[in-house]
Amino acid sequence: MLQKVTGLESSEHLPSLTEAEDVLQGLADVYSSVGTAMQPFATGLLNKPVALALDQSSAVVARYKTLIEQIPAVVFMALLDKGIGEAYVSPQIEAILGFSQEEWLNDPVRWYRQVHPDDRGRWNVEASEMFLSGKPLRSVYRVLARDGKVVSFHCEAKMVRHDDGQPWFIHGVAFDITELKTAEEKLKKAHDELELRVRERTAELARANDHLAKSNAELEQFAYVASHDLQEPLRMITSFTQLLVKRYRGQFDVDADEFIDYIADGAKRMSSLINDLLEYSRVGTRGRALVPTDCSAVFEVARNNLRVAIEESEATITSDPLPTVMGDETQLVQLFQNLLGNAIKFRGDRPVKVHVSVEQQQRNWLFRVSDNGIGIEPQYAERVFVIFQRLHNRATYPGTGIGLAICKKIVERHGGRIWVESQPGAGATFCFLLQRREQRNR
Amino acid sequence: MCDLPDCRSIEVLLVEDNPGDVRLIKEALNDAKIHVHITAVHDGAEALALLRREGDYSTATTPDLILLDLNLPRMSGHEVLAVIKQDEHLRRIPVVVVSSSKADRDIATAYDLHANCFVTKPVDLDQFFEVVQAIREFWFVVVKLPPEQIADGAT
Repeated sequence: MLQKVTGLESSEHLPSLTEAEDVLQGLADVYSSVGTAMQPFATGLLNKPVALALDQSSAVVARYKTLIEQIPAVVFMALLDKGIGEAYVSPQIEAILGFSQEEWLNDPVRWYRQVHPDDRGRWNVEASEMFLSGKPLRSVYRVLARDGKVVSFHCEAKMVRHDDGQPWFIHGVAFDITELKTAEEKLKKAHDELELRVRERTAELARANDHLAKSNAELEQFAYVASHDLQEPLRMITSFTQLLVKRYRGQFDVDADEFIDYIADGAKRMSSLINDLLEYSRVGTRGRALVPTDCSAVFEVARNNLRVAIEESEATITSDPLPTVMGDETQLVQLFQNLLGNAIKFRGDRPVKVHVSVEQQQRNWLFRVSDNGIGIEPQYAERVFVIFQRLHNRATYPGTGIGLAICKKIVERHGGRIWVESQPGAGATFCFLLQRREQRNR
Repeated sequence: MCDLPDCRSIEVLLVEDNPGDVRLIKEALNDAKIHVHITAVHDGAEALALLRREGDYSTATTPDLILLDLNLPRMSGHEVLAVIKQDEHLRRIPVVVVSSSKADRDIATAYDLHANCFVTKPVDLDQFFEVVQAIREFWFVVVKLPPEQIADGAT
């Protein structure tokens, strides 16, 4: 086989083959792998090839020729039993690859040389399989056009045998799918780029999340430490102011007593603020794992904790049967207690009535704590949840303005949301969502 | 009213770095009925020097009770407590930890190190006085303090 290849090198029709030894080596390997059946064809490689156009003498053949030449693809045929004597390629070859029919057929290994070097190995394997098994070949190869451009062909080929089983001829069609391939590659590239960007963005988000979680934890730690350490000097101020009042009240003038009162009052309020800040920071730092928690029991504990205020205000506090939610019991008690406590604190002239109702949603329970108190003007509906924000003066309604901020933090820690629906004088309804059951994806 | 054998005054070692607290505790411990002598030191190293009669403290009296703050410069109150309770000459002295901390970990650590009791300083002055006076009532009146004459380890 290699001798024949060497022989080809000397052929005047194939002057360029010296530079493509690998080309012929590959082709020779394919033919030799097929065995004796392919010998005539292999032998034919040595002979001068004769390109045959279809016989135009026959009108029938002429019609078929027209039919074949109209197909917008390269149709090809090569006899295998008489050397390389007869072959056909449809004229579309020129439009697609830039080689004329004659050029293509005059050089018996032209087509193989034009197959992209990276695809030749695959053609060798797939063609051998076709020759040996007789199964049609169906594959995509890249082929180099005359100007060096890469053309993608979807190739369908079949070998036809004589009745005695000897190979007769091979025929097939090659469709130019370059545009399809280009589009496919563009799409793949776009998809890859998109995927990369999604990955980058996801990583960015994860980093941002980590950062946020870390800074949140640091902030909570800071608030805790700061408020704890702030209590120390404040205790000195309050203690010695009280000592001063105890021992020396009335021994200075009226102004001095008044000043002392302001110091004492300021220190006391600062102490409340610090304590509240500490409590607020503890929602995050001291929170326990969320477990199934019976809200009816939580409601009872909260109501019991408020019994003095309830008795004093003669409030009627009722509730629907409440469900079990995923929660931190201590924090849920605090949540209910703050909301019920507020309902009593911000009461109007009517006897206080508070009712807790609940509504099942797809993933959450919607709780409503409705009162008949003084209500909230809608423009302050968001502000009431901000830490240390107050809507009334301290003389009328004492407090630092921490209660609802803590409620918000507790609900959010439970993966829920809290808001208020209210009109001045028409009472307020505080609504919050709590998860019905554990979220699985964590 | 004096339960001590020779009716001498009660010696208290106060380990507290905040002069305001030293003053408040002194105010609260002052009582006509029991004479309490308070020595205040500002850090743990000084406390141990006094207890071991080192340096300037060669003539110091061994206290009947130690009031120990946790938040001290250099050596922490817990460290001082650990040293006292591991020292066979000092471990009988009752140590009352008086701290502004309410943290479970601080309380547990103090008892693990054999503190005799743990008291949190109340923020309110009246409550602070009540607590210190309760310490005085309990440790100086109710409790039998360890005798001085019995050799260490004897029963």
